[in-house]
Amino acid sequence: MANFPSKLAFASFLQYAPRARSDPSELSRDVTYAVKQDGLVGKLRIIDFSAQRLSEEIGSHPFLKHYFNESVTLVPIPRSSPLVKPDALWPPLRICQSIMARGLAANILTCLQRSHSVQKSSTAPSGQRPSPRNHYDSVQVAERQLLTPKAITLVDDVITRGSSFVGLIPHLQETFPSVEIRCFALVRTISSGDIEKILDPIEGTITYNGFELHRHP
Amino acid sequence: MSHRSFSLQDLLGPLNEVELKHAPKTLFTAGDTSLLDEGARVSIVGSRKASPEGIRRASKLASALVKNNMVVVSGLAEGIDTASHTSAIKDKGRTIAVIGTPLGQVYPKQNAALQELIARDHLLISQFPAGYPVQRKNFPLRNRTMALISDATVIIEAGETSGSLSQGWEALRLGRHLYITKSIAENPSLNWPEEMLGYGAKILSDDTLEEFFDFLPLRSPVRLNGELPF
Repeated sequence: MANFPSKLAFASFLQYAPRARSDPSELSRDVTYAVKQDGLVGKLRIIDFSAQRLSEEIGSHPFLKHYFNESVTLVPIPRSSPLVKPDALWPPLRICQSIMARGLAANILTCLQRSHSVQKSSTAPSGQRPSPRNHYDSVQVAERQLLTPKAITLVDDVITRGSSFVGLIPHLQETFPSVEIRCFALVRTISSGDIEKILDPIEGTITYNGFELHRHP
Repeated sequence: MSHRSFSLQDLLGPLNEVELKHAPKTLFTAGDTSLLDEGARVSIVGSRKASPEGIRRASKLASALVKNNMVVVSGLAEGIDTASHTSAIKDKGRTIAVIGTPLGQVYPKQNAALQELIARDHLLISQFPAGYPVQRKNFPLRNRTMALISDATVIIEAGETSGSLSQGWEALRLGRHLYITKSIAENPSLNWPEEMLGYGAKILSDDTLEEFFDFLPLRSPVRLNGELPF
């Protein structure tokens, strides 16, 4: 029986306003699209650029050091659908690799695998977004884990409400009962209003009462 | 018609490892390569022997893309492809044709004038050098390249053996948006739609059209203006 957390801390580094029309908001749409495709904004490969900026900003935002340091194991969140081929694009893994390449983690553990598809939160109508239970039921821990991490940061590309974090943390807690687990999303969605800047590192909370999720900020 | 050749990276910028796997080394172009610089690029693909309803859907989607300042990409084949290009041109939009022959050859012959128009006023792309034999196997290779060039692919209608399916699978492998129309998703005689939906394809209908546009890039070079994004 999965024990879903009722309150969870998370960090994110960038923000994204999908429907707003200021210049930073519209640019944030291209940035987020590029994160999800491991693509470019201008000539910049945006995941690598973001990881570079993260390494530069970490000293100014000390909370990020809890999420990224030489003791942390990064665990990428699976895509919302199973990978069509083993070499298919997996953006959270690419984010982990890029962060790891900058010496901000000990290793990467690809232990969570999606067994069947759930609707993407970012593109689903609000009433049809997958619940934490949907995420939990559609993901398996890949194999018996020989390595016990000192600390885990669960990494996603974009956070909407935080359903995947709440749904997948029980898998990690069941697999690594005494290990501290944190959650990081490179980009957070701002559902209404404009943004003035894209880079805005924050630490926030996700609350879950068994029915509804609320993310702050 | 003057032809130019580019490495794919010169044309599209540096590629990631997943993109590099099936990317041709060289692309041959005729027309305006600046069509690759601005606006989302959406492929509309489907059957050569399309139904009237399929033709209508392809034309309607191409018009909607033009209205949203997006670039219509297709393969200059009969049926859905032809309808998509001609609708984009009629609505004064921009279109890219990715063809399965060298630039100097035409297939099918009846699209010679359309190919010439696209090469002159829009953008014609081929991965096949002059003199390369035109073979059946060129077309699925062309479809993979079209998936790579496009931010999203929409399959309007396609049978179980359609070349459009190779584009759909490649789009999923690349992590690009893949949409299939509601009518084929609900067609009980087809197996591929359900399989693709299981790997992340989405259904495009009037209800989801707005969401479809919302999650494509705007890609305005003016907005970045040479500066770093953050």
